[in-house]
Amino acid sequence: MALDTVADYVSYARVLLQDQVVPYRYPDNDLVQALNIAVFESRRLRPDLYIGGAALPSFSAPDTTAVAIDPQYRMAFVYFMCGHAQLRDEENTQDARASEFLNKFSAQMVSIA
Amino acid sequence: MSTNPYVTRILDNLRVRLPGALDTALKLELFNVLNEFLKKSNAWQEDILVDVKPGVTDYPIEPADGVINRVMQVVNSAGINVRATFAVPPDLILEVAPVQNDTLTVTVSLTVADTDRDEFPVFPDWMFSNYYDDFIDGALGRMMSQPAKPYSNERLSIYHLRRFHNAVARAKAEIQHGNLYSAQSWRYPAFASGRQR
Repeated sequence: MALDTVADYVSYARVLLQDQVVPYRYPDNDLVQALNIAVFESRRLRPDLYIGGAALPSFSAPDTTAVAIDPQYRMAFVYFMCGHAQLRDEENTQDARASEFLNKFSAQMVSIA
Repeated sequence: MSTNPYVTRILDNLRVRLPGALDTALKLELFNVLNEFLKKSNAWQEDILVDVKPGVTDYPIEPADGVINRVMQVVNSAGINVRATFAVPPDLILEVAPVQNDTLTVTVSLTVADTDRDEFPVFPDWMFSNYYDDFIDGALGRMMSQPAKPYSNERLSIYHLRRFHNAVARAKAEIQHGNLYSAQSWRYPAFASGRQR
């Protein structure tokens, strides 16, 4: 999986979320929305990811739309999607996982983590 | 992107020394480095021939490549300096209108012209070999000075930018001396060359 399209991101996030069996615990739309929010967050932390782009990319479905992110930072986006999805869970263990994913996203964006 | 081996090598050097850096950011800063280097050093110069007519003082000038940064010298066909200004490009304004047809040689210093972000700006190849290390220092210094990046490093940024600014000053002096080792910085004035007594 090369993490080229929205479907790739959603599908790989499901691997880390252990949510690969239908019916999904985390709906597709929620994960796509998490990807959109990851774009906003990455624009804040790393504006150089969008040099030359007139507008930020936005996605609406887990389809074959390309996600043009530099390969060095694609995994960080997946981590953000997982963390954002797990924020809604209430168990203590899930809270810790959510926080870990989100911290990993931030760390990878701004440091050699 | 250019297939110039120097450009490829410069980018490879930068990628190795700036973990997490994006190629688009490298190209952006490399453009800034070239622009600053050329504007401050006057290292890239070109002679433009301008045919002048009696009574006309305004002549737009255009280089073959790049963008004119400043006019270094204007001489007529007899080799005598002509007073002119270049306040608003591209118009060269002669202080005194010519009294006869003549061809002026306008020496200009150039800088890089804006280009597509994926393309490398047009630039003389000889400069890559002469100032290769200096361009790397400039780009490293600028990249490392960016805040909150994996490659941010204030101390190394200061180190590389100091080396870069020294290189700019050295290049400026070298160009003034015609890139000759230990060359004299003066020459006999025009009136001593035998044309006038």
